[in-house]
Amino acid sequence: MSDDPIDVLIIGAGASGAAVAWSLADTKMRIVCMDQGGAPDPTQFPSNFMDWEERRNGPDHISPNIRQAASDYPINDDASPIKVVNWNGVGGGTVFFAGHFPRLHPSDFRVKTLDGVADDWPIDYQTLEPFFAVNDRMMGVSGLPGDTAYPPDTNNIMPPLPLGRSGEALAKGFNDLGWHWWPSDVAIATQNFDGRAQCINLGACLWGCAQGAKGSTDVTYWPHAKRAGVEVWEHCRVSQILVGDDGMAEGVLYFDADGVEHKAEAHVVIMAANGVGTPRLLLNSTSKLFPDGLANSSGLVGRNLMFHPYSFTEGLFEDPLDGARGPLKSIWSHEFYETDASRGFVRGYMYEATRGRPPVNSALAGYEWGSLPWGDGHHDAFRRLHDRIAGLIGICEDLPESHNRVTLDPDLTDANGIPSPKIDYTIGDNTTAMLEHSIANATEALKAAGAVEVHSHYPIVYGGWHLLGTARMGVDPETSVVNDWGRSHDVKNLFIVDGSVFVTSGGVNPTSTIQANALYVADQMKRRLANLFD
Amino acid sequence: MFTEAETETLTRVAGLIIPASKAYGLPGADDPAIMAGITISAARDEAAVRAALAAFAEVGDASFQQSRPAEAEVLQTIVASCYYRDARVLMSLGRDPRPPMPDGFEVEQGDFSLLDPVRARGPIWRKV
Repeated sequence: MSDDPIDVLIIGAGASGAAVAWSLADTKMRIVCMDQGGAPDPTQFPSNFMDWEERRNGPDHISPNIRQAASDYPINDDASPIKVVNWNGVGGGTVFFAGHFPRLHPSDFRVKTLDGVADDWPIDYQTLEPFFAVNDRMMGVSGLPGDTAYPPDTNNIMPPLPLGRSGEALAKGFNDLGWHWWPSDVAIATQNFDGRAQCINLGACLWGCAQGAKGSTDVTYWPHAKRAGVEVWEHCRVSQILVGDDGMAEGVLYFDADGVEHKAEAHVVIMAANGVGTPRLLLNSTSKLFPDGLANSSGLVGRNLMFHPYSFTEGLFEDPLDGARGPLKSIWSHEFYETDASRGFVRGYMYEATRGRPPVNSALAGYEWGSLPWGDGHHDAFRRLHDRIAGLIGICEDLPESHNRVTLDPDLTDANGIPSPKIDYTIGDNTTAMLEHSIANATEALKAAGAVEVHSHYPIVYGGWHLLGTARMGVDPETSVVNDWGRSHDVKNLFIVDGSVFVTSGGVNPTSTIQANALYVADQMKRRLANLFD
Repeated sequence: MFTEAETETLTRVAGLIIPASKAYGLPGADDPAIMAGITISAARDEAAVRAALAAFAEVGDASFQQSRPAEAEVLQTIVASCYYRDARVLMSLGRDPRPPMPDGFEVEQGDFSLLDPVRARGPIWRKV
């Protein structure tokens, strides 16, 4: 780590940090990305071991509060029915994501105009369209062109994932009902691609892809960005963004792996620490000029947290399906995505199909459903479950509500004494109606597909993957934190590129849109280098 | 560390949760090799397991699953997690006794002509 001046300091090496770093590398500026964790070691991912199912319920758990790795920080989510899940290190949440890669729809950027709720985004689908395409290439997206739920512009890089038995069964069910379905776009290589080996159907995407086929940014953007000169400083935990008397960011304070505090000066600071980590750092960066936290003159830093509450409906089939063989996702349905006033709620949701469960998790489902007794009936009952489960997850649009927020916990801290985030969150009435609608229709679809038994619940408690809205984008400094190209209204050399800037959540997995927006912000910065701080 | 009495109770509970099966030629979860794994896993969650074993001692039979579901969940999760990675058990289910990596699995491509009615219906996205 040289002491030379840093031109651009990026905080967070996950989905958005990697994308913005790679794009800005064109400028030949000195770009440093700090992350509180290190690079993942694929040889240690659970799917390498016989006890892989147990590992993912313990040391490789998706919740940082359960996992408690050195790179994690505790999160007080006691006041939320949905718990935050993440992975802290190079690659960020993409290391543990499923690779499901839908884009937001054009309507998602205009919800106020179309449906009279929340706010419109200051940018639209067309603005991001070219960056979606670049991102699909960089992340290595597989899929089938022509999805009727999207504008006719997608150009998938590789062929789609196999439907498998479960995808085919569900597709027939959707067809019987006349409902939309399509093979999912996924950031999973179905062919050897860009140094990555093709998917071999390990079935453990959520706990790290040991094959390297899944597009986590440690194997997609980062190798390219590093070759272009970007530095990644691992195990550097930023505690505070420093500002000068002129109101400009001067750099950061951070702790190294030994807990020693350092200062790093930078001309530009970019936040890419996700919708919880970013407001946490901004709120912890108080000063004489910014007593309520940095970039928070609107009072909106940390507010309007959106999660995407999930419903989960699973069907039990008579014939064997895929079990856990294959990537977790196969097909999606956008049948109920757009607003239909007759449903009793505005906006909508997407279904993502789940292929099935591996043996241990099949047993745990059986216990949860009351289908798996202790004693002599166990083995026959288990065989009725094994490889015979498939499901539909309803991913529901979460409207922004001011009281859903991230603040700093007054007592809880991480290992370096930095205040932990505290989550206060409730599921809104509109979303609750949507969740119930999604379960009713998933039940119908699973039965049409041949399920003989259906079980459902909402929300998925450990389902707080999508951390959105806590530093929203907008043109009015009184009602937004960053402008329409990601720059803080208050601090002209501070940018935010993660999911914090989402004005609304849409009803799809957000990584594709988060990264497209990060590339768009980088492009805007490059176009304005001569007057970036005006 | 569990006491000898606690280990005996844990073994008894494991055999109660998943007994041996002559029909399928399967060991019970109280099989020594499987119990070795259960003991290690249980030690990672020692306090909860100890409390669950104490609760089980009050009931003493399989009705524990219904009468004390929270404590039963602690025990059945550990037992199932260790039982369904045993090579004998996996082979009886028709599975190779190996982790997913490095060989992976085969998955059928499926019939993509099932998309014909979806295509025929045309676009459903909302124009802005």
